[in-house]
Amino acid sequence: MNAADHRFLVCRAGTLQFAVSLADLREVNRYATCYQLPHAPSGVRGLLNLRSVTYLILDSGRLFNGASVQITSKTRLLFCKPHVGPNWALLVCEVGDVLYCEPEFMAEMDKDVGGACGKSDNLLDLVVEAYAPFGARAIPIVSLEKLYANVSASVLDQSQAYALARVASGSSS
Amino acid sequence: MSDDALIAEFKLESGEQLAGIENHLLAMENQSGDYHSHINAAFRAMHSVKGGANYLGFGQLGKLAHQMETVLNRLRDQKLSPNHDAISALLKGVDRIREMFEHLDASNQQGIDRELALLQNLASARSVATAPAAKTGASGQFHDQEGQALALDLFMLQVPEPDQTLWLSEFDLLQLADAASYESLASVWQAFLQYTTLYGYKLSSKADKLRRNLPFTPVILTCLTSDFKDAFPAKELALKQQQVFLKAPAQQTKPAPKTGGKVEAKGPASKKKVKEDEIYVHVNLKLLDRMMNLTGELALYRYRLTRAVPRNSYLQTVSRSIDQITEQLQEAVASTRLNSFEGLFARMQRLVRDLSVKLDKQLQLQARGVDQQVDRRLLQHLGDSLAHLLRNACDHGIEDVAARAALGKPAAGQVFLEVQRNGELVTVVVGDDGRGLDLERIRARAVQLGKVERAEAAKLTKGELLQLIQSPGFSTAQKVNDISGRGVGLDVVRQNVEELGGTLEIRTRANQGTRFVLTLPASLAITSVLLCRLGDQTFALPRSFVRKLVTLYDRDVLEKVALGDDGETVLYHGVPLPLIYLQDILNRAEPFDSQHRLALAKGRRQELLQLLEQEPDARLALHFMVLQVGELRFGLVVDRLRGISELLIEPMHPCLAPLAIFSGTTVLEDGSMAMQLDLMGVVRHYGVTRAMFEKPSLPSEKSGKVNAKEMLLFEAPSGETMVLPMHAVRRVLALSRIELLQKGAHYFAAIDHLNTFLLEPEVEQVRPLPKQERWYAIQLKGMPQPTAILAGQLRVSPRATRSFEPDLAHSHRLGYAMVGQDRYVVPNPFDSSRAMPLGWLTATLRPEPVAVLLWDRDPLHAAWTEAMLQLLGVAVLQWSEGQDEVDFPIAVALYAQELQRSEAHFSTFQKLCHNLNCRSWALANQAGSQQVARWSLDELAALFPKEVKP
Repeated sequence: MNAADHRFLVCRAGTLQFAVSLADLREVNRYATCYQLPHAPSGVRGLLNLRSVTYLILDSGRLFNGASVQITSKTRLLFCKPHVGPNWALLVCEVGDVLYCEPEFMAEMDKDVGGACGKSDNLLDLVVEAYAPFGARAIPIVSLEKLYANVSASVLDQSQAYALARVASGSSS
Repeated sequence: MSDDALIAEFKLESGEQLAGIENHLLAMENQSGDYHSHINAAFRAMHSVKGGANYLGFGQLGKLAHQMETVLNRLRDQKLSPNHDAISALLKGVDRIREMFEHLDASNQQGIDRELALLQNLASARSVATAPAAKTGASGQFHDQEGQALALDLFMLQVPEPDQTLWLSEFDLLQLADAASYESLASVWQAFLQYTTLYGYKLSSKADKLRRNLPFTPVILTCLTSDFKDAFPAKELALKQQQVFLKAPAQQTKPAPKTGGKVEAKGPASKKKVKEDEIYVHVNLKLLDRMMNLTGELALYRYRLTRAVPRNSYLQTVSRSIDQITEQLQEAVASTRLNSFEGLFARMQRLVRDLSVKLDKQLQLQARGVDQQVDRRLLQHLGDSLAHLLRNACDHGIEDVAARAALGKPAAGQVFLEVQRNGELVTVVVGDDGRGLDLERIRARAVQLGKVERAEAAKLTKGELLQLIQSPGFSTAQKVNDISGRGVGLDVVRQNVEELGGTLEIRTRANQGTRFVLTLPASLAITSVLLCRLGDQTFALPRSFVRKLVTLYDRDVLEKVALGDDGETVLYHGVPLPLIYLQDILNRAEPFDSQHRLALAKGRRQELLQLLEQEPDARLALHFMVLQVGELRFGLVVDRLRGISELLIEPMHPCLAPLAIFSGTTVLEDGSMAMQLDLMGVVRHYGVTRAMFEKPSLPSEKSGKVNAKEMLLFEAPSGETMVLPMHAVRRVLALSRIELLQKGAHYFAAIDHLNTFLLEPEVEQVRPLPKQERWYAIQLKGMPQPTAILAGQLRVSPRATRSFEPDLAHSHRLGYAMVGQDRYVVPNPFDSSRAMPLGWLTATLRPEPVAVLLWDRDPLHAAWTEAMLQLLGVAVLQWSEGQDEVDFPIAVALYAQELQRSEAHFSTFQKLCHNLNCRSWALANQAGSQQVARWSLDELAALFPKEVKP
């Protein structure tokens, strides 16, 4: 197994600290202004043109905390590798340490144990793969692949709901 | 090359070979083109497939290909007739090979007994060939040392004796060499002699001598006696001789003097040229996309470079060169994505043939314009939709023979595929001459399926009924079969077309047939878009949907925008046009209903009135675009317009694809992003009812009239208000002062990357421009150079011209027009004597006289057209009604603004044209005046029949 598979980048979204696998990341960049997309699902911050490729920017704050990530000098974009999902990046408040953790030290833990790390909601439950020890606390390891899959699914749900609403409003021409 | 790579290449090449074989077989059956060319090409392709299959160890495939080759050989040798059974068996063989390609690894385990038996029957059949005599041509192919086919259709040698003509074609060589594994050409020659003896051909006694004297190695398969010559018309023979290319292995290219010298040999240079022109390579589409992206990126940096370099520096010269090269590179890369409809048409031919058998109907597929080139992605996505429409046409549209006979129609039903390119759009028409759609049955079926209530159904118009059949699950077919009738399809076709950014329209007439008109963007990559701004965001709209850009000012905003039951409408050309505010669309993610629309409209009106109450002198402006989406026309209100751009539109991110109102993303020249609006999605989102769409159709269009009376009022830089006929305006662009570039005494602006001269209409002597920030460039139709009229203010007046008084004293004025109660100057932008850059608008001097016969009851339009044509070097004769004789000895074409208004006038014109042997009446009838105005000089000249030119 690649060493990167055991290394995780610690990030922050509001008060929530979580980590993502370095093996899923292609690039970490400073924030650049996104094109805000009307009608986009709540977790979508917008679109960004990076070297002629359009990236979908997901806002970790909106996804996990319900509040958008505030842009500061520490705000970062985590550009994901293609196996995680096509052309997308996760916007986080800041990135911190790189955490090394062997699989045997990672465990499926009750989310209450990780309470010290911050608030979690349903989406977090769906995308946390395990918890890893981080100092005296346990930190949730977020699967970026699952995160993307969930956002995709929610867009589809939204699309279906939209189609139903259109039929209900009698506006399907 | 690895085995996998070899196999992949074999599959790719064989796939193309099979498609070619299919086409040739169908052409042979339909007796179109040269029979021998087709059979030889099919044989050659099958031989390649067989060779590849055997080499790679796909024995079963090779066996089937070999058997097909045997049948093709019999067809070629005219021992078998290319009848329906033979062609069907071969087509089945092609299908089977295609199936085997799907699972190539397991192909050796696949059974081919049925196909082999069918083919063996044909191979052993005793029927003797009858190749279509009129189409016959002894043709073959010579191969060079690498086995490459040379372009040889026929090779004729004339030996000294007048009746001893040898016809040589190389295919038999292949066959002989293949069968006997001959190692040298000499032994082939021996075999050739034996072959001719065996088949009883009479060979010239000079044959051996001939062989020795030939300046090339005789690559010969068949020798036919001179009586074969009788099968060819003399003209065709001469033509064929011109097409001969011959392989001269020892670099000897001179003709053989001792053999009569009828052999035409082309030297290596010309041969090489032919080969280079015909070389194709397969390139992965992803690589092409990447090249496209990279050139897009290059264009972005080109733009930044252009902005960054100091003016009048050496760097600017370099930057300009980079600019031009990048543009050419972009065009070249974009062209690699293009493909013609020919491949698709070939598939459709096969489909119609199979349906003809299955449905037991006589069907003929006609094609027009299939050589038009469009984005290959469009073709990929369109194939299934066209197949579906053709299946419907054949199954439901075309009547059986008895029904057709009763209606006096020919037994063979016509289905057709027609492709037309119109600028950015391509129109694909799939139609038939069958029974047409049964509207009453659609109405009844709609009630039966619960789509509408009975009472409501009775009120449905033809247009609404035709919309209904595009809804999911709708079918009027009484029987469901494997061809059609399940009601799955037309909605999918519509969806596919809309996903490609196009529209579907249905036209039908009882007992005359049905036409499905698909209007699509020709390119899915580089698209011409109109950019508009809303707040700080930019949005792109496909330019092909934009009909007009309109701005209402001040009182017009209040007077012309009205509140209706379903929202706001604007009085446009005297009729209400639904208005959609882009702001509303973006602000509300949920679909609209009439309540929301009305509430928003009322709120907006309230705000406007409040504003005017507080600031009575406030300037109001409402910018909207008149958009046409299929049959729907509406106005889209935006904050401001940014202009037109050619951009690479990328599909939406997969995660966002379900968003209804967007269809793609694009990166602008400055690196910022913009979303492309899906206009059909916008319409659906806003929930505009059909009733709202029916109102806005222009009454003048419904009655087939051109609303040519609308005028554009503008303020010239001199401060004088002038008018232009709206029909002459191509478009209007807003410019800021900074965009006006002064060069010498003249002003220019970069519009669409072209250095456009800004003409000051009333100025004979150049004066400094007033210090005004906002300017407008009015681009006109028919200007030979990029030229636009510079204007300070704009106003569209729907009021008709009352009168027109020509100004004979000033060449820069056409005259004076009364609009309402006011008299305005009409400038003459075509006046080449005005102050302008040297050589900019020079009247064309034509080497031969060309004249246009002009008829227009509107004196302003007549004067305008005359000035425009005169600049093109065309003499203009005014024509009066009823006049059916013209004493005018040179070419005559008609240019009539209002030609389509009166059938009676048209027939008079027709008679006149007939007398003058002038064919342009038909063109004038088909093309509206706007198209005529766009013709270039060459196109205009092309209208004139050569036979009446001096």
